[in-house]
Amino acid sequence: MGTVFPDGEIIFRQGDAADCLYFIQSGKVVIYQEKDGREVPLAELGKGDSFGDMGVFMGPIRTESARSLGGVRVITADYKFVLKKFRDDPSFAFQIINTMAQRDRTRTEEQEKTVEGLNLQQEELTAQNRELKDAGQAAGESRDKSVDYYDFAPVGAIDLDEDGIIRGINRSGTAMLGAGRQDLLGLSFASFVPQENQDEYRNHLLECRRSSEGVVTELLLNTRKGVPTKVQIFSYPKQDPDRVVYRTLMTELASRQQTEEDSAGS
Amino acid sequence: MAIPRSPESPSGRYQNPDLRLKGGSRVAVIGGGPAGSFFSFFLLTMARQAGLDIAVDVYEPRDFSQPGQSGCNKCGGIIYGSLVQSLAADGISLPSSVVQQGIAGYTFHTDEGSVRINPPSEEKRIASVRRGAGPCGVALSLSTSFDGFLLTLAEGKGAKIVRERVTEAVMLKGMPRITTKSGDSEEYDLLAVALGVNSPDLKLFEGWGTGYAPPATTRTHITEILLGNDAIEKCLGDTMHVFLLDIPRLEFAAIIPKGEYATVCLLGNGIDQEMVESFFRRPEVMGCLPSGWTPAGTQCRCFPSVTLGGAESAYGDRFVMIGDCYVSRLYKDGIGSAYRTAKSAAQTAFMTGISRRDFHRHYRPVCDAVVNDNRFGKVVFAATNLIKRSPFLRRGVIRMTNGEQAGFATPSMSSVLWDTFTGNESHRNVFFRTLHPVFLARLLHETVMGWVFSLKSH
Repeated sequence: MGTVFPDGEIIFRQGDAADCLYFIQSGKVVIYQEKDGREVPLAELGKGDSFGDMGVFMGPIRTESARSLGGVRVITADYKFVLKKFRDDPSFAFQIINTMAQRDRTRTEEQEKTVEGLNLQQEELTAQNRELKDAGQAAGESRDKSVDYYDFAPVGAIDLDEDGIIRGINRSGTAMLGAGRQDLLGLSFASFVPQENQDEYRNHLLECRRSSEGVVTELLLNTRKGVPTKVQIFSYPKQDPDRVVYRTLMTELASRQQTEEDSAGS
Repeated sequence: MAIPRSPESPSGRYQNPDLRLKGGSRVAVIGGGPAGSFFSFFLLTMARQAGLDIAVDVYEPRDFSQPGQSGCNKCGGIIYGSLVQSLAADGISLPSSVVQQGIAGYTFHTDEGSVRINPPSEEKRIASVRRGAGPCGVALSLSTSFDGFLLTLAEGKGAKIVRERVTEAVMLKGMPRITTKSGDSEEYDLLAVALGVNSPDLKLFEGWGTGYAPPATTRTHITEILLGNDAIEKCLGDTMHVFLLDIPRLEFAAIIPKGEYATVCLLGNGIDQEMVESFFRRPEVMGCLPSGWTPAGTQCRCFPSVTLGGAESAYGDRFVMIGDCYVSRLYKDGIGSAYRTAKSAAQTAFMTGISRRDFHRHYRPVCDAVVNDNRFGKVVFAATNLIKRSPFLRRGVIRMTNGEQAGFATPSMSSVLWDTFTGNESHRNVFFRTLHPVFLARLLHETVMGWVFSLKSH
């Protein structure tokens, strides 16, 4: 009895001519829409349900597709039968309206569930965003603190790029070299090293490039005093996205010796 | 005397508020055949949708799960396409255990030849069913009775099935009271009588209250023939075989395949054993049955009555008759008539009221439409009889139908024959289609051509 559609067979496709209603006698049907080449499932119907009414009432073209789910047996009713049935039996209209209302309610509930899910996702994303912002702020604060530590460190600190050009320098460093920060940035640190110590300095840089732990070298440096001052430079590679690849810490050996003597005396 | 107006009635018409179904109302349905089951099903469905608690008791002593005549409502057992569609629209799916066979078409047999008519739709929408659980002689039936299936549906909606025979039904102080064989007596707000014209219990209501007079009936014949699946497939296939034979008083004859059985159904005016034997002697009939078969061995046969017209005074205050004890379509679609009258009566009782006036205004027009259509049916069957008696017309009809089925012409005769012997269209619709000049001209043409060819062949 009726028409049988095996599992997976398309009963009608979106855009087909809508010429009849379907009443499910046994089995299941999935109703879906095709959007951007994807199937968006709308409803799963079973025995006693009807489908295809939207096409019959809304226009001559199907707005949805229907496919058999595990095999289905249906009875069809054409437009003439539906009109005749409406005339002879008004309760049939109620039945159809009831079916459409139930389906509408199911879809509204599904949409509400989807909106609820989206709201939950949005809340989660907002929370994640807030956490990220907090983490970013903490990182910024930490960075600022690091900048402060760097700037006010008691030793001279210079950031050099791979060519030995000064890319950053703290307050102690500028005091030791005897020039303003803006004047020093972009200068080669080698220009402060006397001629006799140029080889040591070059070796220091080469060694630093190879080493991951840092290199210590003692050499003379032309400082603000106008006479070469003996300093100890400690350089280590610095992981940074910009061009600076070394951080060099400078300690005047005279000052250091004095500090050590002060420590021993106390 | 002027009818007092009820202030509660918005339309200004008098309505006795007591003559309406409300929460807690009790309804008795006598007879659990299709009419009683449909009535209970629709009434309870509407009540549930409206949130009303209505109790329905269905009095049915027969057990439809028993094979043989005790559980059978004795009819051809064909459900036509429009009814199958209507049931589907009501959410009623016929399970495969109920459908004995999907009928794929009709084969018409005359002494001038046979022609198969395919249905307008490719979809199988005609079902042969068993009213009981099977013919006499079947020890254990695996099939489900159609009547039993419907009764289960009504029970599923909340109807209480009372397996007792009603011995007395009276109106006491304006309220129906039912007494059963065991002596139990119950009062109800509404009594719906859904007895078939073959039920002896119908006598309980003759002249009852409103002056009920049963409809005119005629005797029919039904035989169940055990042929086996192979013979059914080979001889009958999946079509219903209709015979247009020149046998006096025989209006309609058909053999309907039902699983491994075939149901022979003869309708006419006063069918008797002699007519049945005459039918089985016809070569057109025996050609549809296995060679060597004789009707002598058939065990399950009966001569039930069918309704021809409409009953008188079949409703009153708190009382309504439904199904073929009121009205049925002429020679076809008894189950469809039960469906229509039961649904209309349930809608009237629930939506309008249970007074005589309510049933007169809202229920009677549905039944009158059937009675009026049967008048056209008598003309259509008279024309069919004329064709059966005239070899020239028979030849013309067969030639015209053959041409249409071969695709040479639009199927006008095919659709007329189809709709005459199925319940899809009204007799009135069929009648007016036969009056179309093109139809008559083609029939005349084919009849003349058939006569000319017969002369040449002689």
